[in-house]
Amino acid sequence: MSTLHDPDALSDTELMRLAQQGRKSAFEHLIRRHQRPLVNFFRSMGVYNDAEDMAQDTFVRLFKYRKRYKPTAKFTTFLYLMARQVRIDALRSRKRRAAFEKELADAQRMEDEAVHAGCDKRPDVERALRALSTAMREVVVLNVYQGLKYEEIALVLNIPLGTVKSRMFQALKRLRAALE
Amino acid sequence: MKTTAHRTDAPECAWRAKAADAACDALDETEKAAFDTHARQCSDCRETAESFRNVIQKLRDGMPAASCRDLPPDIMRRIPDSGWTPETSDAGRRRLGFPAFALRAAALVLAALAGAVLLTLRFGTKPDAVGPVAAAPSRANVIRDALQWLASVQEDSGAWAPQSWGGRQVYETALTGMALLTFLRHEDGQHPSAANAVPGGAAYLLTRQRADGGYGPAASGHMYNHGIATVALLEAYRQGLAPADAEASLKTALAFIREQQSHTGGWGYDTHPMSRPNTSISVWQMEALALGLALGWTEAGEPLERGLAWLATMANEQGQFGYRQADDTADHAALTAMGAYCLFKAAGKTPDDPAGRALVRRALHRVATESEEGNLDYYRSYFIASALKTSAEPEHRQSLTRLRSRLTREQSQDPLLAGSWNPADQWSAVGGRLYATTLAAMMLENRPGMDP
Ligand SMILES: [Zn+2]
Repeated sequence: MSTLHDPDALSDTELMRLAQQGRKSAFEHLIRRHQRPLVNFFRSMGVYNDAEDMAQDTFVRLFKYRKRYKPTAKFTTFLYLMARQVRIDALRSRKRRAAFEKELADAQRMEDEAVHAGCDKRPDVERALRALSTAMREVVVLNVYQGLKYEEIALVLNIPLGTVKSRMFQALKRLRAALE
Repeated sequence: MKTTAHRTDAPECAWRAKAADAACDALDETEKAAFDTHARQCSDCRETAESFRNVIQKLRDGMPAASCRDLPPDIMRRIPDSGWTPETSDAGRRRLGFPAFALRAAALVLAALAGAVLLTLRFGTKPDAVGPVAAAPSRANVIRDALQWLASVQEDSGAWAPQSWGGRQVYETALTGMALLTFLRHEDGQHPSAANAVPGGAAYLLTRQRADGGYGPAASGHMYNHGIATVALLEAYRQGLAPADAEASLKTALAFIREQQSHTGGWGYDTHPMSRPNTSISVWQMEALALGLALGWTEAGEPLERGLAWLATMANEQGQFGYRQADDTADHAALTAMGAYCLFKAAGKTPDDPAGRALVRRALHRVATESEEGNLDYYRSYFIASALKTSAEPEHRQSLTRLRSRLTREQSQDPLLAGSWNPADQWSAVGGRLYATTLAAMMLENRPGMDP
């Protein structure tokens, strides 16, 4: 009972189990723990204005599918599986696609301006990431920014482990050249 | 083994594909040992792994900014309430082990009891006396649960981080100050839960001082951060619980308050002395000055008197206070309470002022008769409670008792958040759970108020 007084001491899995039992505050805590990394995930994947909305959609979807979560799987794997679906669905919707493309164009323009202005190195990283294919970029972002292991990435993307490794290798070679 | 430079792709070593995995820490122990053994002889693999590690480091350094608004409120609106178990019917009852109706009944008993205790209080009973009914959550226990929760969420840095609890990071200094005050006002900071919390929090606040003397980031609203942090540190200093270098820091902080005072005598949101003053920000600065003056730092006297003169111009004939001028708002209760509390804090530290005392009496009367229906507004109620605590009038004490029994009922019963209060008012998006919890706990405390 004493550990329950400190929600930070509870693992994702424990909070998720409480949420499955209908504990609202456990779910809220889970959201607060993951909202920032999740928004960052969408931003790293090139979504700017809609990143928070997509994170919100992800948690709503997580709630809908909460009964399917089994404590044997790592929670973040389940979460990013949902996040990836949300992003794909969003791109499918024409309206969002148009907005997304405009956003990309805006981001490109802002970035060009920043480069002209001789700004810091952050645009370099973003530009280098954006130059990767979506497939490669997903692997890099999930590993480097979200801290998922190769096996977990394979589950999230539903690809063989060997494919995760070869994409990572190729991506790192390209990024190395771009960031030289 | 080849020793080709990493920029040429072929011919390449068979191990090279593992260089990425090594750089990503994706190899298990056996694989890693084998790769390391190989890399000691193969400069190609060694350099490739090293260059990949550099790439990953660059990616991490260029990581997108980690800012995002607090999502749960919007998400919870999209999930039907039927998706949740009512939190009050859960098995994890904290204090009573009874269903909700029993808890409410107990709270009513407590309210009656507290009323009796408070009435005897006027005749010299010890203020912290707790009634003989063991089953009801005593006020002290409710406060201690709050302190326990606060202690459990203090960061390693000593700060309390509003952004982790639904608030805004820019007010971390203010929220750390409020948490510190909550500990200091319970048993003079002597409760065991304060042993680590207070030194850590005070030390953290001292590190927040800027070169210009202000505490917290130089952003709009910084006078909230500064005023609250200064009050908290002065309390810690007064109780001998502040670090050794606090005195110099606090004198600089009081000088900063003096510099930021507008020509009219009040304080506003921004750094500029021309920033339009408002009552809410000004009361914190005046409380800090009053505390400084009580410590014998006489340089606080003149700005305090100017502040009080400005505050008096915020009141109308009926004793109601405004925000930026008298009669500029419909919700007078909070501002009137701020005014009354502030005048009380300053009383005895500045020349006696019969008009001021009359104003306090009128203001308190207004506050005690204001309705307390609807959502709790913690900031508003905090000042109402602070004002009511300064009075021994039965009408005022009863009003305070009602407010306190409501707070006792509304303390989170969730085992995950036990001891905290749910942020549910107009300021919650700014201060979050830390704001709600610190203010609620302080309302239950006897201080500030009847203390000398
Ligand atoms: Zn090799």
